[in-house]
Amino acid sequence: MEIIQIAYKVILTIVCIFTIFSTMKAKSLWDAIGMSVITMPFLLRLLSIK
Amino acid sequence: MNKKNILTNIAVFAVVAAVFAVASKDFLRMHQRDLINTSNSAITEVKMLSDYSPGLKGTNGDTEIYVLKGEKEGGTALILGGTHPNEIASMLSALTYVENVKIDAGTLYIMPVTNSSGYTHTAPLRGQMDMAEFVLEDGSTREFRMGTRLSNPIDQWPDPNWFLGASGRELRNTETAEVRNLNRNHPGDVNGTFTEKINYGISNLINTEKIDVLYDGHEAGPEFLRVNYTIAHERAMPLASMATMNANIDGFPFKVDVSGASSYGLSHRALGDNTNVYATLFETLNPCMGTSHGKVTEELVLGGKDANYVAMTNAGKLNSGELTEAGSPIELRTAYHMVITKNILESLKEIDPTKAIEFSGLPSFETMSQYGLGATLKPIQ
Repeated sequence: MEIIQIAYKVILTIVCIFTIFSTMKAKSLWDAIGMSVITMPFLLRLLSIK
Repeated sequence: MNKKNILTNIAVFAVVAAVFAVASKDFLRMHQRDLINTSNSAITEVKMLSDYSPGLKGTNGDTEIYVLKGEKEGGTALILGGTHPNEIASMLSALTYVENVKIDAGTLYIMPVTNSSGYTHTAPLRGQMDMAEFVLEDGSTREFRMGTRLSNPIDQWPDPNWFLGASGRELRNTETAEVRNLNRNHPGDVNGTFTEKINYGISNLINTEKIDVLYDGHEAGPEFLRVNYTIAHERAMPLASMATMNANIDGFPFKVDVSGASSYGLSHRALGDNTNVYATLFETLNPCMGTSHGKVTEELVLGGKDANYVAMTNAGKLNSGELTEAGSPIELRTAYHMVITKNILESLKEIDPTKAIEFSGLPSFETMSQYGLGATLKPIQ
């Protein structure tokens, strides 16, 4: 179970880094809004894990 | 990437984060336990389910067990409310017992929020109400979460493609989410899934405390064939029949049926088979639980009113869940649970006089059904 939890956090971290990076790279306002909205659920989940 | 773009994108990210932070307030509220008035001097002890299932300690599955012990010896009963958190009448009835009952003989173990994890989320895509509020006579309010019938995937994930747990119920295809349904996984497993650990806590509590009778409160949609029915394990049929008959004498439209032999994992079957308890379950009519109701509004959830089901009733399409324009209000549903629980507890001494459970202090059916829960719920100090 511990390994699954660690793997879960690692995957969430990778997803967050990727989507935040994509947000910063966005070329239009709508791209930035879209990528920010996609990022938030993953980021909140990552931050809420005890 | 030019500098201007990055600054704009950072600003957008910050605004979206702020919007999510504000919206998350509602989600976080679902993780805060509803307040209960515990000033009742009859409450002798408050235990936790993790006392009986250690794997639940520190998790969303741990929940309070209120113990009301009389001075005289007698029977023991376990009252479950909120096995399915969206079936709120069962929770409100159990809560009414915790806040009001004075007990002379026997012991009551009451869990108003049985699946605590299920209270932390609502079912996706169902447009559910997540909170119910009642205004009390002194002007204060009580609010209660309305979760959904499954444990939160945050606590138990992922759902398997196939599952055969301790209950013997085989889950496959579209029904595998039922692996998180507390009333499909009795008697549970100390080393099983998160939900099975909650189930194990309940069965271990029954065995450890030598519980004589179990009452599991539920609500069902109008299409369900056993609405306002007591459903009991075959060993509990004399008790359940007596309780239902006594309720009939008092004018309540209740019926009784025996637990299905293949109802694997349901409390009335699995706990009756695997423990010595007299296992009973009762379903009240909640049109919001059905599949044909209209828009989810407060009038539907709390008033129990729905035009679709009235039309189906008038067309003779419903069996036991007929709905009139008067609806099936929360006050009536809660009062029904309160009444049948009382009848079941009182009937235990007819089965075994040494197991009498004697208590008083419950609000009357008339008070609750006519003046509402605002008249019967206690204010929070």
